Amino acid sequence: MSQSWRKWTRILLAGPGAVLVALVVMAGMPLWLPGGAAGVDNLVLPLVLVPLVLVPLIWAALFFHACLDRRLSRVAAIAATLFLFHAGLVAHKLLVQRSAFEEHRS
Amino acid sequence: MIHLKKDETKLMVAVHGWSGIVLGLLLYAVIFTGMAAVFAEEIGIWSAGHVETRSAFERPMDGSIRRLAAQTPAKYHEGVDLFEIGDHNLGAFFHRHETDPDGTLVSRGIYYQLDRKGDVAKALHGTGEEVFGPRNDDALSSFLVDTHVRLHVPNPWGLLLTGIVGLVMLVAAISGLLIHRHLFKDIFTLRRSASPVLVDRDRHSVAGTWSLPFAFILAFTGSFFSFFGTIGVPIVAMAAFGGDVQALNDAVFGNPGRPDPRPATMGNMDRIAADAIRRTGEVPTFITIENFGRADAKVTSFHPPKAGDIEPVTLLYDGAQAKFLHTKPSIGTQPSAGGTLAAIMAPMHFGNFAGMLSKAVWFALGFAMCYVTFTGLRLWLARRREDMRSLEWLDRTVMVVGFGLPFALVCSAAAFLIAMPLGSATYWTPAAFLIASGVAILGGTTAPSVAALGRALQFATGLVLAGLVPLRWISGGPGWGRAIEAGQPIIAALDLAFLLAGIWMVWRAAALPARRLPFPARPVPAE
Amino acid sequence: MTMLLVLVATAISALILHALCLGDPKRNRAAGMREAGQTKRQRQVLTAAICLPGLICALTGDAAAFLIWLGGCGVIGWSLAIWFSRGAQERD
Repeated sequence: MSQSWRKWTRILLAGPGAVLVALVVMAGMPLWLPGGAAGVDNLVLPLVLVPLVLVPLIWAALFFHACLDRRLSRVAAIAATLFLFHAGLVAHKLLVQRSAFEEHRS
Repeated sequence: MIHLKKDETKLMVAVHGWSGIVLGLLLYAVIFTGMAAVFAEEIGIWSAGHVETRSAFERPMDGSIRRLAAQTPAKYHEGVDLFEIGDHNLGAFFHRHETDPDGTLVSRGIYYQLDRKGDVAKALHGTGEEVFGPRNDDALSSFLVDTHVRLHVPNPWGLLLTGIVGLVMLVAAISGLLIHRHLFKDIFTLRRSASPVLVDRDRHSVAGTWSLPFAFILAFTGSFFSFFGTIGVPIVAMAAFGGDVQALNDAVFGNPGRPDPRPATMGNMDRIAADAIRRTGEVPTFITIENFGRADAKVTSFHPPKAGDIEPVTLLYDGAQAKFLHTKPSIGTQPSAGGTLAAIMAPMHFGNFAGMLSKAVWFALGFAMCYVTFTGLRLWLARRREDMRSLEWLDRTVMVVGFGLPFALVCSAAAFLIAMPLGSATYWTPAAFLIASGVAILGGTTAPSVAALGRALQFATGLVLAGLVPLRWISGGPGWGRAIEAGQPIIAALDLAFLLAGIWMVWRAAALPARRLPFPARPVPAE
Repeated sequence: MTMLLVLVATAISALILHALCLGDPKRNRAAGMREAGQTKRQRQVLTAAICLPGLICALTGDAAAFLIWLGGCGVIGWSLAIWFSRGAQERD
């Protein structure tokens, strides 16, 4: 991998990459935090806020990891894993909601 | 302290420097106005000459609230927010939650501003965004807070901007920690007679090190507040509540229980307020009523934290029976780690959890962080002295913002004091800020040197700052005797503080040398 | 928060900070002073002693006192650094 390619990949991962992954993690975290999957529940709801509170720190961790980890492949792998896991959770939840809505309608 | 490899250090230096220089001037403006906003309430009392010490919640308000409810359409009885405005008078916002055509959740209703006697001084119709603007008597403190929260840029762009500025500060704090090899060894070293680069570097790193934990806390809590409503709530609502922001709102802030829409006379609000004050030992800062006039009406009162705590205290009452139900957590319906975490973000950011003592510490730390930002910008420029000719404009810009911002703020305070008795403070406070900024910018383009510019701005700021005190007296503000007698010593205390600070600044500016020490032709390499 | 707790904790830490500042080896060298300053071991002990009042505030569950102590130490430490560097400037 050429130096220039590496540099731009790192900039992409540390810049828009970190923002995107942080936002997706924030959206998906309420769905796996303890009790989150249960939906509307007295104990759960404050946990919905934990990702909101943590998102600046999550973003900062992703940013500095992208800057400092020597192995770009590891940076990309961690970012991709976090992204796919949380995006998957959100997509699943939206699909379940949509089918429940359609069932209710019919 | 943390030993990174050479190229990692170089990258962190670049991240630190560039994150600082690109948004550094905006960051400085946000931190400086934030520092002043710590005392927004006190500045409001001082500038408007408020001498009432009894809270609106300690005086009868039940009659006023019933009268207002009778003249307000029932659709706006869904929520009633009660809070203090002006000189401990009552403000009441009767509203309901609606979704705008563009999908945003808004509160629409009628905002009543009452006078001392409980009569309606003003009634404003519209959404929360529309009705809660600055008033004549709080124009100065509103101006300060609005500059800090969104740099006067309309929502949501202003909040996004300050949120990004907060993230930049977070990055600068963390990268600064990573690049500073000898954090503790250097912590007391301020070389005065070394090269300008080393002098600036010492100033920057010593102030930065001592204020580092708070730089981190304030950056993180600040960006949380900016992003919470603009990005956080819509995304989490989409993911966890199918896009229903109202459901998220109700879930986090609302009260569970079966709805009971049968009409019922509201319980006595004075009794509720008195009971809440007795239970907590503190006057409420805010009271909300849900479902006014219904059997399931709930009243929530919010109080400053108990001694030793930083989380505010929240009490829940049955609205129809005026009966205490239970203490509830600030956020969520049951105590939880997440709720507590979210609830302490505000006290950690504002520093208002322990009265004047915590505010004084936060103010001092804010000053340290302004100093770190300013010296960081000067250091970045000092390291590039070789290119100074092409960066002269930036050197002047940094000085214009660095010393021009305090100058413009004290000028807007002066304008406020003159305009408030005339009823035109909401216009003249920001107008004076812009005019003074224009003067500072003009000075920036015409001053013979950057040092002379700095000296002139400091001198002018000190003069206006000290002049605020006689100006306040001349424009009819309460004298020290009256203020202390009325139980508002803060008015006298701020007068004294401004007078001393102003005189000190004038004296210091007069004693500064007009020309800088000669600097080396080549920049000194980073340590 | 007892006002007393936070004032005593901050005062104790301030006194030790003062000692730490006066014995700082790098500061003494930069100011051209003859005293070598404290040893590394001494400074470690003093630093631990500074943290003790804050730890006590935290352990008593007094979050407000802890935060004010932490902020207070930051402000006092910075002020000491500035104050004692002015002396060096005047000597030059």
